[in-house]
Order: sequence, then structure tokens, then C-alpha cells
Amino acid sequence: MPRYLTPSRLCLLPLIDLYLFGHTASSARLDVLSFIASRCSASGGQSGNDIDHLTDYLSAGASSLLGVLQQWPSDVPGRNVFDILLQRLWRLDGLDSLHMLFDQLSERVSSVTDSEKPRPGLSRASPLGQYIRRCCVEFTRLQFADSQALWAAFVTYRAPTYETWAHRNPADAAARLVEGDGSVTDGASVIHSVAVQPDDAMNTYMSTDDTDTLLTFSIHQLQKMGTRLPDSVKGKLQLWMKDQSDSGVQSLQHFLAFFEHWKAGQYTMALESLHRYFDYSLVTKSGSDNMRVYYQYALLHLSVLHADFDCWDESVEAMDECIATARENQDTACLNFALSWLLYLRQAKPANHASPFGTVSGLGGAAGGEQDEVAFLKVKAKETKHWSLLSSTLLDESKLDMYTSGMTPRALEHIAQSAHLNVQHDLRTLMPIADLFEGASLDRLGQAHIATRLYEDVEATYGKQAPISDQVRAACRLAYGAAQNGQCAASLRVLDALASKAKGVLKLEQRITGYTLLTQLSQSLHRDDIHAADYYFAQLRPLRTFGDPELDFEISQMEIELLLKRQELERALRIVNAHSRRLKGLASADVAHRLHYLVLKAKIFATSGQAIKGFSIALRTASTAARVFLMPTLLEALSVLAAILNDLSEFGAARDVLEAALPLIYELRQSKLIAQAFVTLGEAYVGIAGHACVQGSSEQTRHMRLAGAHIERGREGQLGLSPVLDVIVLRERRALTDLAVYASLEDRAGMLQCLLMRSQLARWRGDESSVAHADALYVGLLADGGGSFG
Amino acid sequence: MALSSEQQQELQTQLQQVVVACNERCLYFAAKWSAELLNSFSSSDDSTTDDASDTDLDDDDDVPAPLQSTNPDRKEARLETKELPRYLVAKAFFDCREYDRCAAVFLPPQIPHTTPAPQITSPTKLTVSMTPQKISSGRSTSKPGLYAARPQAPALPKKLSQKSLFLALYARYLSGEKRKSEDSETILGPADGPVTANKEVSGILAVLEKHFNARGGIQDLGNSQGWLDYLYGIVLLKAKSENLAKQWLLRSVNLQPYNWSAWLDLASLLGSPEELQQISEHIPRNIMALFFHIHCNQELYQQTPEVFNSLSQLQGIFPRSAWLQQQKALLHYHARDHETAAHLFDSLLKDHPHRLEGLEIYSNLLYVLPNRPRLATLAAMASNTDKFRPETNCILGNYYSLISEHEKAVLHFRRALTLDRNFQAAWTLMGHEYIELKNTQAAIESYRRAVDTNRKDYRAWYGLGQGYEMLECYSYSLFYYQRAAALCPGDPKMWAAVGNAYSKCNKLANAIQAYKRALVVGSQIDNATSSFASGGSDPLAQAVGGALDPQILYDIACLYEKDSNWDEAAAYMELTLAQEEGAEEGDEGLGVTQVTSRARLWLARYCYGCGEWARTMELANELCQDGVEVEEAKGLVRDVRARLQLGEVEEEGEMDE
Repeated sequence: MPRYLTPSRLCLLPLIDLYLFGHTASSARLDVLSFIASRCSASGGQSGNDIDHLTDYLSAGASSLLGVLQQWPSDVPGRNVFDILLQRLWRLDGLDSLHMLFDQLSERVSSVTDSEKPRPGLSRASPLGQYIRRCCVEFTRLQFADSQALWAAFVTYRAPTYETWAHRNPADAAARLVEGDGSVTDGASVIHSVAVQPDDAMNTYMSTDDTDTLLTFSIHQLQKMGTRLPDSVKGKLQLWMKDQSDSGVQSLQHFLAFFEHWKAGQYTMALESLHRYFDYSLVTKSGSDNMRVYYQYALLHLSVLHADFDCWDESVEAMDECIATARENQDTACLNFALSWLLYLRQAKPANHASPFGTVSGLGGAAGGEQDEVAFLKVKAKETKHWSLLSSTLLDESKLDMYTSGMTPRALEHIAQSAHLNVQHDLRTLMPIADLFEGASLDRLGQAHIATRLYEDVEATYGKQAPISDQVRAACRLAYGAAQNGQCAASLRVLDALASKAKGVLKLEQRITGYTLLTQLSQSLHRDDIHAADYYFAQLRPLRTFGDPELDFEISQMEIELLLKRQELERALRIVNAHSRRLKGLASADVAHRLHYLVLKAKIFATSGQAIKGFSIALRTASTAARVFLMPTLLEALSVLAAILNDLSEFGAARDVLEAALPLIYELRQSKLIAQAFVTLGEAYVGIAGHACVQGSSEQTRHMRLAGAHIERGREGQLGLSPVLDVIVLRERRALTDLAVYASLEDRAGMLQCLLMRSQLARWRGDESSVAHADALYVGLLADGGGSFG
Repeated sequence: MALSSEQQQELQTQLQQVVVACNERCLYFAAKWSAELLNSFSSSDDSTTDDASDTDLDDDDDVPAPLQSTNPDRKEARLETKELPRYLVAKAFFDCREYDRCAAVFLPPQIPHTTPAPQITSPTKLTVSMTPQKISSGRSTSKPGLYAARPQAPALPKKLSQKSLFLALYARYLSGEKRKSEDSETILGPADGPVTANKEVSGILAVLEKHFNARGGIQDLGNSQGWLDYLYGIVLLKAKSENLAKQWLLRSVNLQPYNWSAWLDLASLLGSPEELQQISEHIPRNIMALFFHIHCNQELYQQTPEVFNSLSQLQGIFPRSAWLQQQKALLHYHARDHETAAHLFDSLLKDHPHRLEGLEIYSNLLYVLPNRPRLATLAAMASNTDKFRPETNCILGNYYSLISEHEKAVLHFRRALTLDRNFQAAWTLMGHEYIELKNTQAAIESYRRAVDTNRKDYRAWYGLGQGYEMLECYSYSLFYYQRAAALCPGDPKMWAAVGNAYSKCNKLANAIQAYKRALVVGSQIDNATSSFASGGSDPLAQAVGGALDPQILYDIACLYEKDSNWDEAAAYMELTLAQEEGAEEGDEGLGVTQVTSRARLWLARYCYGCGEWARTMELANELCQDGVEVEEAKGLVRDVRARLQLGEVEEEGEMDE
């Protein structure tokens, strides 16, 4: 395999010549020059774009590549630049002509100036001059057989252009034919017959330089984006590297394989590849001293790999050794990075592994808790101007704030700092993750619509530049938010589309599957379809072992929902208690999760009719949530509290609580909560009408009407419609009173309940037609549900 | 010389037998040559014989015992049958290039090179326990080829067939060659060259001498088959006793005329046509002798019509022989008929696209022509056939030399020599490259090695002369130029070089002689190639229009000038000038060149000295016209004009008076 020279580079040389001698029309000179410049530079000047693009660029054929030149006229009327370039290319008729070409070129850039001949404006130091010089040097280096192979590859490379050339230059083509038939040792005929078979020459004749470019780019991509290689690129790389003799490229190949296996979830293979990579790298790096320099990076990769596959102990061990090595080698960048990873590890898998984790600051030389560690890392990062580390540490800190103290505003401040750093130092890979953090914190503040915008932002703004894991995470959250908002079908559609994007990265695929199942589970729960729900839950259960805390929490929440639906209250309570206890033991557990379990507990008590037991829990939870600005939990707690108050016949208090909470509940965009709140509010009004008002008074009637309206809105909320449209659609619905509309109902049980209430209210009012209507709806729904859901 | 079908049949049978015999003795090269020859009868005959007689013959003979039937001597045949298993294993070892092991099958085991001392000190045990003592075989003597310190010949196991003995000794010889090339290390390194020799030679010599003494010496041709004689010959050759080697090789070709290797070695011993004459009485009169003659004449640069004659005769018998075609091409090449030679090579290449032998000479030819594209194509073909053949590397070296990449050229020549240290063409060519690279010492050493390998290579001798000339050791360079000229008397360049060297040594008369010889030789060539219609009466009538080399003429003139022989000098200068024009009207001469202009300037000055003003004016004006040495010429013109004017004035003055 050649180091540098390829047929496409070869073709560029005559083109440069044409340009230098002004054989292009003056109008096209600039275009031609920019074309040359784009081809001259090492990576083609378009790296960072797309790996497919790069591959095509590197392996394009002559006609497609140089065909671009057809649009520019030459100095000969009626001929374009492509034509005259072809003329040049086809003038090369043998290995010797190749030597001649390079002889001429090297004269052109020779340092000895020949004063007699007019030289074109080409200096040795100009980019074109450098390119020509490099080509000449590489050509001189070639062994004879290699130059022969180059020639053969060139012949096959230009072969597709024969038609165009022969069409434009019939005389030359005829001469070529005659010559080919002539003497054996003349012309290219012999080369054609003896040389390499054209088919595979085309594919395999890639220079080491190109392969290296592609390989490095791929690895960069893998490392930064976390994607996997497209199959076409992988195949091509393998083909090119087949006869690669450069050991540096060989080792890189194993590195590539390491990422590939890792992302594909093949733990042992990844481990093997990583070790192999390190072994081969040692071979290329001469000298025994250098070996240690790279050792900590190998350990770092090893640790990250272990962590990704949940091998926490191994991961921490590797990381410890990595830190030790990095300190020994005084590699602060690596050391800081390793420390931040260790911090992450501690957060990701805390508690029971207390001893091996130690403390980061202990290793770093300070003492203290987690906050100190973060502070330590921040200082270090600032000292060494390691901005990406600083930015990610800030994000970590914001996470800590949110989790432990619940200081969401402060977390937001850290996130803003991090985002500022990202913008200032162009840390593109960190930008999407900062958005995600911001979205999550806004979610906690109950600003669902802004959070949604931020999640959308990841896809819209960063697109392919964002690491694939962040993209998937953002999309998953979006989809799940939509599902909670009642748009299950849309959510499933999004998740479906996302699956193709994950491109075989196992972790992400699992996440997507998890969210899909969650959506489907909640959908079937709404539809009262316990069988389907059981089925989905059974599928979800293995995913809990994958150590994704976000998914884990959602799954347990769903589990409780399912149990509540099935009226297995004791078991639900047991599980909630277990979770609460577990979370209490963890130092770094999310306070939101803990509170949420408390809410669930209160809810269970409320459902089981032990309202008094639930009351204090709900009240306590609500007050804590209010203190730490945890809106979703607060509101949920309030709605549970209101229900409990209703049970305790404190209708007025329930009404007050709910009326205060309702605007905020709307902002949460959780249809279920809204519906629940409305129904509870309706009940509260009924209660007020029944207890606090004088029988038959207008006030009582008013309250009853309000209750009816609220219940109706609750029903609509359970329809899964956007609350904003509520009123309008409500009118329409009422006017239509069509059974077909209810077919799209989401929460069947809630619906039925609402209809029952409505008919009772109407009966109380003595509005017989309304009663009949509601009853008819009820029966119809029941029958329809029975028909469609079994 | 067409052969009757019976004769041809017989020849074919003999060739077949010899191919088998050579293969049995692992003389692969000779076997290849003979087999090629066997397949180069005219093709129509082939098909008939193939169908009818050959297959029958095979069936009859080979089925019973293919390896026994080859030997006509019954006693030998019996021996061979007896030791067939051992022979087979030896042959297998040989084919796997395990020469030492092969030799050990038949010969008593030798002390290995690395045997520790204690074992050597107890020879008695060996002699008692084992067969005859042989401890101090060839290996233990460090001085090769010394008859004075000849090692005692180890007793051979009795009743060893000649074939097995040959195989064993030949294996030993090759093992020595292998060690030698291993010990030689890098090309032109300290261990390369005559310092390292084949250490097995003396041992083999001893064995063979004993063997032949036991069978009546060189005169008794009775019970020898010629193979061992051949081996004795080449070993003697290695030991530098050439006369003896010649005798034994002669004996070998008489006994076994189809062993082409023996012929080749014999040819390498002949230094001149006279020696060939002498030897031709002793060689057998058969078809192989014809091949031998052609080969020798080609090697000795004899391009007489007789050679061509016999060549075409042989080609009548073997129309498809690549070897004969190659010889023909070589003869044409040596006769400086480059176009024909190139054409012949071309067709040779077309017929045998994977045959690399002799193609390095084709590349020389293309280099001389010069024809870059064809040389490139040839190089590509050769490189495709086999990258690691000395021929291929020579071709590549020539190509790189032609495109002025001398470092790469040297690299390829070195590679060729690493592959085969006896590849003489590469030594010479590498010398040329070192001359180009101004590395005179290395060049001289390369040439020296070339000459050591083949003393008939006039280019190497010439190169040696050149090298010494660059080092300004003129008497040495003269010596080598003389050798070159003696080898290739038909090349004016050699004689010119000799003349130049003589003049550098201040031997003017000899120098002039040599130059004149060069002139004669040069004009002969022209006479030979261009047919003169008019055999003019004037002996110098033809000596115009580039028929003679103006440079040599000018040199002669300069020498005469140095000798203060002005008339001769002027005459040769005139001759030099005469090369500008054609012999007759319409003929094209050389035109004005640097040399002729210098001659003109010289003549102008000479005339000026003689006071021939008119001629001086004429010549000087011509010089001005040609634009060479204008200043000088103008000065002359001014001077002459002034003198003429003065003369006129004086005349007028006289008139006035």
C-alpha cells in the first residue's frame, strides 16, 4: 500500500499544471483554483462533516470526481477544463511517462532557478508548491514495483473516462489503439495485460495517508459522538487496511474495534480489542520509556469501559491505578479527568462500595465531602485551564445541588455558568448536555413547556454535532413528556424514529426500548387493559438491571401505578416502603425521588380509605417539596392532599388547595394530574354543596353546577386533550355527544367515573334528559370498552 | 543442416535421457537447458512423435524401474539399485536445500563446524569405532585450494555408485557455496570477495582425486560417465588451477556431451579465439559442439559470417529455441546492429514472456539506444514475472540509471548481487553507477569483481581504466584500456581510450598509433554497414562527411602538434574540418560541431602563423558566421586585416617609391 500517492492525487498534478499555465478560461480560474485547493489539503477541507461524505470523497472515481471540472471553460473555445485535463491524462502512455511527469514537476519546483526559462508563479513554499514537492518526494521514495502498482491503479482509475476522451479526441484514440496492437514492449498494452486486475485495484488502491485520515476521523467520531460506524464505511476501512503494513494504523484499527465492540455491547471483545490496541501501540512507540506515558490513558479507557458495563469494582480499580499513574507521570489533564470520572462513578453507583471509592479529595490531597471534591476539581480545572472539565464539573455540581439540597435555582446558575464556558471555549460536545441539564431543572420547577423547548433544542440546534447519547436522551424525554401529556401515539412515533438513529449502540437502544415500553404501559394502564400492562411490565423488568437511574425510577413508578390499578395495595405499599428505605440510605439520592415515593405512599393510603394515615404524609411531603422548589411533586402531593381532605369532609380546604394549585398544575402538562385535580375539585364542590350550603339554596345549585363543570373538564382532561383547548372542544363534544368521539378515550375508568358522577349530578338537579344522556354514554362506553379491550 | 527423422529421433532420445540424468544429479540448470532444447524442435514433428513413439517408449521403459534404467553400465546400475532408498532420501534432502544432510547420507559424517574441541582431540576413538578416519577433512584447513597443505583424503565407503557420489559431493560443494555467500555478508563489505572462499573445495578435491586415481587417472576414460569429471573440473576451477580444470572439463564433455553446464564452464575458461581454436580439436564432434562454438564466439565478440552460418543451421533444427534466438540477438548487439538486435529481443519476449534470461542485455541495449518507454515496459514485465531475480534487478537498475536516479540504480544492482554474487553483468553495471556517483574506489572494486568473474568483459576492463583515469593513475588506466582493446578490437572507443592514456603517459607515438587504429576500426564499421557505390581512387575520398570521428582526428592532430609535427597536425585538422561536409554533392556531413570549430580555429591560427592571410581570413570569417569562438576569430580578422592593409600601404608605398 502506498503511503501517499494515489491516482486521484496524481490526476491533480496535471490540473495544477493547467492552472499554472493559464489553460483555463480567465473566468474559471478562481473556481479551478478553489477546486485544487479543496483537493490538496490533507482531509479535503471538509472534515468534521460526515463520515459517509469523507469516505465517498476519498474513494471517488475519476469521472465523478473530475466531472466537476466540466462546468468550467478552458482557454480553448468549445472545450472545458475536464476535456483538456483528460487530454493530459491520456497522454501518459506508460510507466516511463509517469517518471517524465514527475521529472517535469520537480523541475518546476526546483530550488535552482533557471533564469532562461520563464517560470510560472509557483514558489516552493506555496500550498501548491508544497503539494507538488510532497508528491515528488513520495514518488521518489517508491520502489519500482510500487510505482508499477501506482501506474496500474492510475490506468484503472482513468479508464472510465475513456469514452469522453475518445469522443473528443478520435485521432488520438485511434492512434492509441494501433499502438496497443503494435510491438509488445511499447505502450500500455503490456501493462494492461500483465498488471494487476483492474477490479480490485480500484478498490484497494488507497494510500496510507487516506486510510489514516478516515480512521482517525472515525475514531474521533466514535469517541465524541458515541455513534457506531456505518456498515459501508466499516467495510471500506477493512478493505483498505487489509494490506496495510504501517503498524500505527494497525493499532488504530484495534482502537476502532474497541469502540465498535463497546458500543455494540460486546464487553469481552471490547476488552480484548483495547488490550490489543495497547500492545500494538507499544510496538509503534519506540523506546521503553514512552510506554508508561500512554498507560494511564489505557487505564482510563479500561475503567470507563468497565463502568459502562456495570463492572464497578473493576472500573474503580482501574481508575485508581490510572490516577496513580497519572500522578506519577504528572499528567494533570489525565489526572483531573480521571478524578471527575471517579466522582461520576461515586454518584452513579454509591453506598455499598464505600471503601474502594475513597474520596476524590482524599486522592487529590484535601479532605471533606462531595462538595469539597467538586470545589477541588473546579479549582484544578481552572488552574490548568481545562475548560471542558470545568464545564462538566459545574454540571455535576448543579446535579448535586438538585439532588441533595434541592436548590434548583442554584443548580440553574451553575448550568448557566457551564453553558457560558461552553460558548466561550467552543466546547460543542458539552452544549447539548448542558441543555439537557437545564431542561431537567426546569422540569423540576414545573416549567414543562420551557423544558420541552430545550429538549427540542438539542436536535434542532446541534443536530449531528451532538453526541448521539445526548440526542437520544433528549428525544426520549420529549417523547415521554408527550406521552404524559396524553399524546401517546405521537410519542411512540418519535421513539420509533429514534431507534434507527441509535445505530446499534446497545445502551441507547435499551433506553429507547425502555421508554417505548413505558409509554405503552401507561397507555394500557389508561385503557384499563391490565393484561397488556402486565405484559409490558414483564418486558420492562429486565431493563431495571441496566443501571440507568432515570429509567429505573420511571419503571418503579409505573410498577406502583400498575399495582394500584390492580388494587394490590399492600404489595404496592411494601414496594414503596422498600424504595423509600433504600433511598434514605443513599447520600446522593435524588430528593425528588424520595418525595415522590412519599406521595405514592399517601396516595395508597388515600385509596385504601386510611385517609388519616395519608394526611400527614401528604402534608409533610408537600411542605418539603415546596421548600425545595420541587413543583411536580408538590402539586401531586397537593392533589393527593385535596383528595384526602375530601375524604375527611374538609371540602372547603380541598377546594382552596386545588384552586390555588390548578394554574401550576396546568403548567406541568401532565394530563392525568390535571384530570385528577378537576375531578377532586368537582367532588369538593359537591361536598360543599351538600354540607355547607342550605338545602335548595341558589348557592348550592351554583356549587353543584361548578362541580359538574369541573368533572366534565376532568373527563375531558382524561381525554388527553390539551387543556388550553379544553373549553372549546368541550362545547363541541357536548353538542355532538357522539359515541365515536369517546372511542379515542384514554383513561376508561376515569371516564366512567366522571360519567357516573355527571349522571348523578343531573339526577340531583332533576334534569332527566341529561341523566338519560349521561347514562347512555356510560353504557355505550362500557359496551364499547368491553368490545374493544376485552 | 537438416536432420533426418531418425537422427532427430535419436537426438530427442538422448536429450530426454540427459534431462533425466541431470535431474537425478540435481544439475537443474543443465536440465532446464536441455529440456528447453528438447522442446524447440519444429512443432509439426513434435505432435507426431508425441502421439506415437514417445508414449510407447515411456510405457515400455519407465514402468518397471524408472530410476534404474537410466544407467547403461550394469555394475553401476546394480549399485544404484542397491542404494536406491538412500539415494532417494539424499535427493529429497537436496531438493529441500539441506545440503549437509544430503552429503551425510553417502559420505562419512563430518565434524560439524561448531563441534567443541574435546571431540576433535579423540580421533582414535573415532577411527576405531567407525569407518576410516576423516577428521581433518576439507573444513579443518583454513587455506582453500592449497595443494601443499592438502588434507588427507578420507576413505570413501566402498561400492558407492558414481551417481550417489556425485550427488553427495555436489551437495557438499553447494553447501560450501552457501556458507561462502553467507559469510560474505554485504556486497563490497570487508568479508566480500576472494577473502571468503568455498571451504569445501579442498575436501572435495581430495575425495575426487582419490576416486580418479583409483580408476586410472585422467587418461582412462573407461569407467567414468563424465559427471564426476565435470564436478572435478568445477572444483578445480574454484581452486584456480585452470589448466587442469580445462582438461577435466574436456574429458567430461567428451564422456557426457549433453551436460550443458560443463560446456559453459569450459567456455568460461577460454580467453581468446586462439584458445578456442586449440581446444576445438579435443572436443567431440556433435551437435553440442556447435552450440558451444556459438556460445564461445558470442562471448568472445566474434561476429564472423561462419558463426552466423552455424547459428542459422542450428535454428533450422531447433526453430523454437529461445536460447538460439538470444544468441543471435546478442551477436547482432555485439556487432552494433542495435535495431536488429532489439527486434530479435522483442520477438523473443513476445514468444517467451516469462523468460528472464539474457534480458539484462536487452536492457543494456535499450539503455544504449536509448529508449526509455520500452525499457520501462521491459522493467515492468520483468518485475511482474519475478521481483527477486538478478536479471530483473539489473533491468531495473538500468532503467533507473537511464532516468538519472543513480542511487536507486546502485540499490538494484546490489540487490541483484545479493541474489547472485556471480552475476557478472551487475558488477559491471554497478561499476558504471559508481563512476556516475563519483565513487571511484567502489567503482574500481566493482569492476574488479566483474573482471574476476568473467575476464572477457571488455566493459569492465574499460571501466577499470576509467576509474584509474579519474584517480589520475594513467599507467594503470593504460594497462586496463589495453586489455579492453584487446578483448574488443572492433570498438574505436577502446582504441581512443588507449590513445588518450598513452598521451597522458607522454608516449606520443604510441598514442598516435592507437588513435589511428581507432580511426581505422571506426571507418571499418561504416564501410561494413553502408555500401559504397564508388570505390574511389583517392584513399581519403571517403574520409569525409562524418565517416571518421572528428574528435579522434582532432586528438591526433593535437598529438602531432605536441610532437611539433606541424604538417601532419595541419593535415589532420583539415581532415577534421572535412567531416563537416558530405563526401559528394548532396551527402550530409556532420555539420559544424564544437570539435570542427576548434579545428578551424587551430587551422586559422596555423595559417596565420604561416602567413597565409587569405585562408586565415576565410577560416576566421567562417568561425564568426558559425558563432563559435567569435572573439578569438574577430581578433584574428582584425589582425589580418590590419596586416593586409599595412601590406597594401607598404605596397603602395613601394609603388609610390
